[in-house]
Amino acid sequence: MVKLVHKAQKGSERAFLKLFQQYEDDIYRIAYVYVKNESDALDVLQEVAYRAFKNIKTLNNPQYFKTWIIKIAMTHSINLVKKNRQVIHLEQGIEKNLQDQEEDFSLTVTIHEILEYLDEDEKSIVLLKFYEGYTFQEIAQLLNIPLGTTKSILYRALNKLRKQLKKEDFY
Amino acid sequence: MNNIKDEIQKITVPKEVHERTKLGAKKASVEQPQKRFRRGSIAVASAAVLGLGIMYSPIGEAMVDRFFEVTQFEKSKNNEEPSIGYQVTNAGSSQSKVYTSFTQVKENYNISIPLPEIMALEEPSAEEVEYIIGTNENNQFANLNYRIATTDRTYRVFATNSPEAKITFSAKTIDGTAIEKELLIDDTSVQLMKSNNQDGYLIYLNNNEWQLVISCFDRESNIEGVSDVTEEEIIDLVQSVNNW
Repeated sequence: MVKLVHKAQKGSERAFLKLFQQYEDDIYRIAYVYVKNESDALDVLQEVAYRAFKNIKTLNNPQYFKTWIIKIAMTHSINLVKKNRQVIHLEQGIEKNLQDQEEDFSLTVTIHEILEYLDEDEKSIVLLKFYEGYTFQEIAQLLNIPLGTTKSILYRALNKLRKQLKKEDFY
Repeated sequence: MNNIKDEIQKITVPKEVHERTKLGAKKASVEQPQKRFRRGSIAVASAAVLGLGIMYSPIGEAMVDRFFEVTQFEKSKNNEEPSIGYQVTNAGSSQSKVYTSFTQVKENYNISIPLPEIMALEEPSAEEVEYIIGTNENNQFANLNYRIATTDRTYRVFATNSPEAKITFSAKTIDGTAIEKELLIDDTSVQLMKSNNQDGYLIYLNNNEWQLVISCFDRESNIEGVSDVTEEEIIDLVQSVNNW
């Protein structure tokens, strides 16, 4: 991978494609979780490929290529969602520090619930934690937010999904 | 644990993803600093599959001295594999010197040689680099054989500004056929040649001052008929030629 990144940094489109195509399915699915339709998810994928190749010279550590393109994909997806929504979404809940709480991630959800009931911040952390398998520390670094906030948002997301499931059971 | 990963993996990935990735990369690529040749102005002027039928027809016999000669490969002691290549006559050189960098070439010969920028970019990470300069009796530049080998490619350029130099191509292939195409790149006519028995292409360019042969071959596989080198790749190489 490192060699391919170096080649792509020197301008090799072929090397870039070889590299990027290893992750394009992941990038598409990540985009889809935010934008919730095929057409926009494909637009995001194309934009990520464009931005990644255009800016690949700025990637200092080739080993982080995947993390780097995931971040581009998330940022661009969220921007697109916000643009389409045309309303600024403000999430100002007080984050409890849950660092010491016992971890309970057990849950059975459907893709529909993930897409429909989580906000963008929650989707980002759910994707990074459960789809990409990053640690809380890595997520905090990637999203540039405190470790405690990372955990809080994840618990909030899981609780939201649990409540939704209870509601669905009730009806 | 939970089933979130499994659920996300249920999102069906459409077939177009590959194409959309290519479009994104292509857009970034065309926004890179302008090269000598402009992109998007390639046209196939003619394409032909040359074969034994042509070579042994009366017309073929009249074309023995043709630009690209294709014959059927026959295994012999001195001829063990199918081949494709070129011959240079009147190359204008009586001696040659080997250099390992273009800086050395520039220090010794005050000449601006048209070379693909892509090769210069690949050179720092290449496994083998060689510049062979052919010179005349007065030690003046006559031609250059430039070769670099990366982990997966061998790139070669033969460049000459000797007016008498004549370059012809030949191939010995299993079925006696090969591909020859004329492409127009920014009003410059180039000839592209390929044998189905080799993983790569040759391109010939001539602007009346310089004659160039540029080739790109796969180093990794020798599987007959399976080429990892694309036509687009060799065209990219030609488009990156500086000082043309």
